[in-house]
Amino acid sequence: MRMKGRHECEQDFELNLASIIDCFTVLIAYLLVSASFISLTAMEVDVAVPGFSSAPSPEDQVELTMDLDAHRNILVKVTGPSAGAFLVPAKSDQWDTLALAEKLASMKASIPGIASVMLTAERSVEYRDVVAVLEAAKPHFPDISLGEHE
Amino acid sequence: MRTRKKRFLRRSKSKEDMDLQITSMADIMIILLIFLLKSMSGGASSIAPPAGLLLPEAKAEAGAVEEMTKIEISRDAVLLDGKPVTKLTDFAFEPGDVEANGTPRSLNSVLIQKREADIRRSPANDQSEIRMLVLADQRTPYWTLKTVLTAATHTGFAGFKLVMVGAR
Repeated sequence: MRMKGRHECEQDFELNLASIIDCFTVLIAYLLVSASFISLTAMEVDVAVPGFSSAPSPEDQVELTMDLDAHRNILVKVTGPSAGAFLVPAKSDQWDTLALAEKLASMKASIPGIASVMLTAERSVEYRDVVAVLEAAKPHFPDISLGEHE
Repeated sequence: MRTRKKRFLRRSKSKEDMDLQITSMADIMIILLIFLLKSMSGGASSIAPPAGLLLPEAKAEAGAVEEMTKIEISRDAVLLDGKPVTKLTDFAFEPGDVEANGTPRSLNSVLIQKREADIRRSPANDQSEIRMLVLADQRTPYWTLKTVLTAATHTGFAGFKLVMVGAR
């Protein structure tokens, strides 16, 4: 009788592994499909559209324009009281973004109150080149607009 | 005795039929839970560039990518929220689709509809500017990009975010 009591108290515990394996197989498949292996980042820009500006810029306002041409030269023009222009020529047939960044840093220090910065480019300039120049200019001038090439 | 035994056996059979298969239900619930957690987290993981579109590379981390209206520019088409709206031929607009201001008619009409739908959907009929994500192929000519952004600006969008592949 005592042995029978002990036998009734013992519980046979069986782990149903088949269901657990099914569950994890489906989860792994779903996570692999939904996983992203590249990290995306975004850069904020404005667009300058003729006729959409709220008011004409006053004559004493300093505006900086970076113009990209098809030969990978960057022409930086400054309008306003400190008007001027300088060219950042291509280096080994590539955009010289380092020289541009240095020049923009010195301009920011020497010309106070630059009201707006605009980037323009010739039609054929590729988007990746525009992004490279924007990346060089952004640390010095966070608010950059994309304008039309004249 | 025999009738008692038979009654006892009949009762135990009906009790066995009432067993509930909880293991299978637990499996289904776990899978549903994981799926719902993933779909609710959202964010940049749900912004995937379409096949064949090469995003430009960023040398430094710029900003986070948030979920918003998305416009994609590939070699063959301009897509708005994943749906093709304008046909391109090697990044160029079709001559018959270009309006007087240089923007494509097909894109303008869809953007106007989208903007109106967004204004209707917003709680206070807000007329504020709406931002847009721009996923463009790295080989897109500046003119095509500028034209698309100009079309979006004309219909009330502003504050564009250019999406690129992050620095490794």
